[in-house]
Amino acid sequence: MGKRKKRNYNERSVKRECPVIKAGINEIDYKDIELLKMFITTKGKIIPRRISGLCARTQTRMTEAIKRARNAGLLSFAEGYVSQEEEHEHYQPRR
Amino acid sequence: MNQNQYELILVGDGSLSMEDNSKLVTKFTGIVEKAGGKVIAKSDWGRRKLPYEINKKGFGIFNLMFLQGNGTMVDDLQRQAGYDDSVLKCFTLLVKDAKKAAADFEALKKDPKKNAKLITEGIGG
Repeated sequence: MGKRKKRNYNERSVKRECPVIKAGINEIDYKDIELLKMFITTKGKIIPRRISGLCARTQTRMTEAIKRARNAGLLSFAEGYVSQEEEHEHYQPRR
Repeated sequence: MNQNQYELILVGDGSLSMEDNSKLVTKFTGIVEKAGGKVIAKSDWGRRKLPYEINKKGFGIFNLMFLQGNGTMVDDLQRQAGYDDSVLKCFTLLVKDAKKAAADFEALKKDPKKNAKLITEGIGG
């Protein structure tokens, strides 16, 4: 039997505040791509709550908005955000 | 009938000229008025690069309409969008206040990085 570790009550975990609520943003809009972009990876995956630090309510609203943006043709399903800087003339469709 | 307020996002074909696009919008306003609805505000997001190809098209013209009407109007809009080849995407969302939503979108168009900046400043400070 191993020794039971004594719990150190002085080292309590610090509660992080939700960054979206801290910034004073009340509604998450699916058209606000610059905001949504912060909570997806370069591959377009939604970042989990334990990493992003969002609260439960904001995370559900964020996932809802991201999925809506994907369906509206604003975010990619697989490649994340596509910049608008590229000129139209250089566009070549994929084969 | 119960009147609700909606937000319609209409993605037109990117190869359309702006005149053809305005014709498309007037067509949809006609459908709304025929179904007993009302257009509260219209907005245009311009030609944008699509993150994935839709009907082998790489660009789309984004139009937003804020409407008041009933459920049958929404059904009509969806049906007509399905028939039209120049429409790549079309869906409606229920909003609480269409005027506020329109004003919010205009503010977002002016400063798209406003909310993202607020978060980065919050983390940094």
